[in-house]
Amino acid sequence: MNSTLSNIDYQSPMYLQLREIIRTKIEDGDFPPGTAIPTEHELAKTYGINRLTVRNGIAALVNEGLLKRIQGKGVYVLGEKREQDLETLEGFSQMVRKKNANPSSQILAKSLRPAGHKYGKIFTIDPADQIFYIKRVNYIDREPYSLEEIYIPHAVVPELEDIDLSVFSVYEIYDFYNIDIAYSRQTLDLTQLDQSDARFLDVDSSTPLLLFTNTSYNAAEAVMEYSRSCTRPDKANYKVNFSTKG
Amino acid sequence: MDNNHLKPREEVVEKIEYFIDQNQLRPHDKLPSERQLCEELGTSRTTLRGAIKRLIMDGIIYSKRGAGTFVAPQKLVRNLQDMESLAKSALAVNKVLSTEVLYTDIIECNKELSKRMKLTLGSKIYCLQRLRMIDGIPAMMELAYIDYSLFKGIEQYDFSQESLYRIMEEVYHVKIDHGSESLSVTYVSEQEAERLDVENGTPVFYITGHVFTEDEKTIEFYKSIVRADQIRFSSVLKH
Repeated sequence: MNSTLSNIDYQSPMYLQLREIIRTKIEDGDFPPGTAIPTEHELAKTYGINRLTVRNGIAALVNEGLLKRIQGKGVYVLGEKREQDLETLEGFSQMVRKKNANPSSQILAKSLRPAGHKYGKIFTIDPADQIFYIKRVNYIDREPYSLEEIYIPHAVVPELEDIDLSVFSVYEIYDFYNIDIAYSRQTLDLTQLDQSDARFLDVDSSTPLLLFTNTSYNAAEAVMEYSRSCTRPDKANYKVNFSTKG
Repeated sequence: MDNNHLKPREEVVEKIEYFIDQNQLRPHDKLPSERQLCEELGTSRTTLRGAIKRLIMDGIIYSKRGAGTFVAPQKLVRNLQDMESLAKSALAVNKVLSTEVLYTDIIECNKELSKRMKLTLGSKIYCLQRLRMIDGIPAMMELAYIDYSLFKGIEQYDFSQESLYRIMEEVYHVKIDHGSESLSVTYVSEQEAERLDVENGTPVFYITGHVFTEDEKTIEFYKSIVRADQIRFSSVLKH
């Protein structure tokens, strides 16, 4: 992995060369996950470059989620990023459990509101019709992963009103009430959150986040759910397979 | 269950989106002034500004200093699950894709590429770096590594005009069958910033991928960086 698409050679800036040295050592297992890499001072001495250059090289790898800086201790190698595919329709908890990790959520809001023009159009319902609005932070192994906003027409699952979402996942509820989600159309953009929302993810307002927008349909092509999920990019890699056979 | 209503800012965000839709505003059309919008939507300046900021971050509108706020052009959507070329997706929405070849070379396979392409060290690899532009705006930079033993003489083609996959298939009879891509986020370096015409350090999509023949031979390994304000990815999720 490499943020520069040019081949790194001796003419490349020093910080890029150092970054690729560290990246290769991580990939080759010379710097195993959980261990600290040499100090800035040591790296500077080994490669005969100044500390600011070392810091620049390391900063990029911290942003990419390969390294983690721990105040007062040093810079540590993180394990492989979680891989998530972009093809399987499943709820957040299901996806996380499959990876043998522990999902949890904090519900920030759950309310009924009028659909308004925007969601009226998305769900093909009257703007005055009620929809559920759920806003939650999703955690994987207690680390914040995504901030999600979910919209569901009241008519789809009126029972939701009395269900505690800290006990049951949205997909479990769909299962209980035989709501069949056949497929979901997903788009992926980059976005940022304002200060007040960014803090739920433990990032700042300048951190780029992956924005997944999902529109979920039943077999009769009616829209059942619409969601937006801002996801920390340093927590996962997204994988997709493609084929020429339709 | 709390029955709290919409936050004022979110309400205004939705109203502006509806305003654009209702008035059939087209890309680069100007939105009314802040004062007019406040009146039209019945909101305060502070709330309006918060809403506008949100819509800019989501790429729905953009602002030009001193000139106002405008409807952002639609991003080009690339479906991650099919192999339709970017040029074809562009054509479908009346956009023109053009290509500039930045660099080509034939190199010897190093350790990293050997692992990724399952080739022995020293094997010949054709490198092709391209800049892709949508309606003249730089949108992505792509670096492809191609197993040269399958495509001897491929360096004679001008890939600013020719499609790489078409030449592979029609001239060399190597048929691409399937592939996989991995997607994350990175930040552009100074050099890349200049090519892509964005500020140094701008976050972009970072994609690496492999393309195989039917019998699992690696044809190509590529890395690309993609401007998120120009291209959006899509996929369909199923059980």
